Amino acid sequence: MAAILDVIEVEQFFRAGFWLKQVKVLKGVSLSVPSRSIFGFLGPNGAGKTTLIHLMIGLKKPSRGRVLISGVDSSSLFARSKMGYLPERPYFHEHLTGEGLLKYYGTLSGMKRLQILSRIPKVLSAVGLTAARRLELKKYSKGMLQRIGIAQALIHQPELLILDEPMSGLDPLGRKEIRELIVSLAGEGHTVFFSSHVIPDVEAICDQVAWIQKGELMGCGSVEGFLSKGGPLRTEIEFTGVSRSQISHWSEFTSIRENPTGMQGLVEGQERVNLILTRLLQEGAQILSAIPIRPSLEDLFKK
Amino acid sequence: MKTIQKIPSIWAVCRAIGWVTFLEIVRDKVLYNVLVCSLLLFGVGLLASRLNFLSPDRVILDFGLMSVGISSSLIAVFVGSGLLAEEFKRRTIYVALSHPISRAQFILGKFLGLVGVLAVNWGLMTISYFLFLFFFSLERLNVFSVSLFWAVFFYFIQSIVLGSIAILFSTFSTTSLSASFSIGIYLVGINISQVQLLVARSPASFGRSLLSFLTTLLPNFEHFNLGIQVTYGLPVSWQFASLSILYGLFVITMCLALAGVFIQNREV
Repeated sequence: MAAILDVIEVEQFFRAGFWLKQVKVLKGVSLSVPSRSIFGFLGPNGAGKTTLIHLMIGLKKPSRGRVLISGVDSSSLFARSKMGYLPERPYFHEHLTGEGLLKYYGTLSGMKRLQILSRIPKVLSAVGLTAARRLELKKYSKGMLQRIGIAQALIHQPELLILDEPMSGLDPLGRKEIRELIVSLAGEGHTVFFSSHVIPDVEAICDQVAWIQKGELMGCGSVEGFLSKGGPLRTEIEFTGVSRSQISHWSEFTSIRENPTGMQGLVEGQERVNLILTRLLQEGAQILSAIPIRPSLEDLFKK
Repeated sequence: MKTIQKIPSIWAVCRAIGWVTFLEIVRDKVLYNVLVCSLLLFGVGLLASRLNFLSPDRVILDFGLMSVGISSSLIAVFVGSGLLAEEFKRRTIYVALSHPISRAQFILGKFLGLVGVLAVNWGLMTISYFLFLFFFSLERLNVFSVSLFWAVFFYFIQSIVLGSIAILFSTFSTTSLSASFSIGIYLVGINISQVQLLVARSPASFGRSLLSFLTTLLPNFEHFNLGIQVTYGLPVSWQFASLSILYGLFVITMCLALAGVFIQNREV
């Protein structure tokens, strides 16, 4: 699939301290975001995620390298017309209402008044803020500000959505709703690039993922590709009807433990699962469940 | 998905930013403080006029005119200096600049918003001033002259020039420094003929050359000050008025153009 966003060998420096010492915040970062994908950009706080996002939205120019949106430099007006951006802390003009904010950013996106007026109810409904459309932003909660931020990024139906920490500071329900919103936006044909330092959020919804640490890209690719590097698949089998002494010498089990309903055994590798299940049935056991456990991105990044 | 990807027109961008800026400024308490203080000056003028037996109307006239001038100038300087700083502080500029607009358009939009506020303030002050003159001057309608209307109008032009200077400084310095620089430029600007006189009387030296260069470079606010014409009932020629307006427009254009260049290179 063609890439909508290309980051090519990007380096970024800034000067800090009394002697204005040069500090490298991005070290030769290269990544490519396929069109219509959900791309998760992971990294701990201070890794350089927001700096790279600022380069993507054309707020800054890279010290070295290039950032291209649909093959055009990200700082060009054409490139910026193709994207919608949600900042990490969505501060907006507090005196505006939700509707007023959307009219403002709609105009800055090149939309005509009638286009804006017809889009507003749709985006407000998509982010669940229809009832609060006439409320001033200073009365919005953190979650509502996050949603109106996404709404303003969506108002001109951009091909690429760049969301900087869209789930930060939200409660679990709020996070779930934003995740669902991102998935539905991708379903409508938007490419969603979002940064986060919360791995499960990214793992739950992304097709592609990149991991940055101390300004260096540690890895980039599909989530499945990352997970396949996490070692053999493990399966947790729950059963009853056999005693522990009957199976304790079975080498196929990595571990066995008793629980209130029976026993639980952990098996590594797909081929051993069939073997164990056959043996258990032969011993007269009743299989309660067999759940494959795939390694999480969190486990991988911890390694 | 039907995408809407267009580059907005300059006018649409400036109008939108200008309107949001206008709404933002009218919520600023500084505006109302300045307005109240200026209205109080009318009252001080009235009291002072009652202590003057020779020409009480002239005192009311001068105090009122000064009040209109001070209020417009202070709002231009203090609000203009803080406009960009607020955008940076609250990071609202990030989202605006992620849209397909140039930084120069953003500056122009902020400037238009400020001009809108200055126009409203000037309109309110002028109406109050004229009502005040009408009700409290002894000669009623006789105090009104063409020069008075020009003088009040030129205070409006002056405030816009000051606003553009404040915005220029705010592109590369803090709010307080921008305000200080703007006030400094204004103080020199209203005394520029005195400085020119000093240059003419000084012996040739580097200091004189520098001072001479500065008097050419710095805006001359004497073009917008018609206090003497009003006080003594002197006429204002059309040539002077039109040249002063053109001069004001020139200074504004230069300041905004420079502000556009500076903001382009500013790290956000």
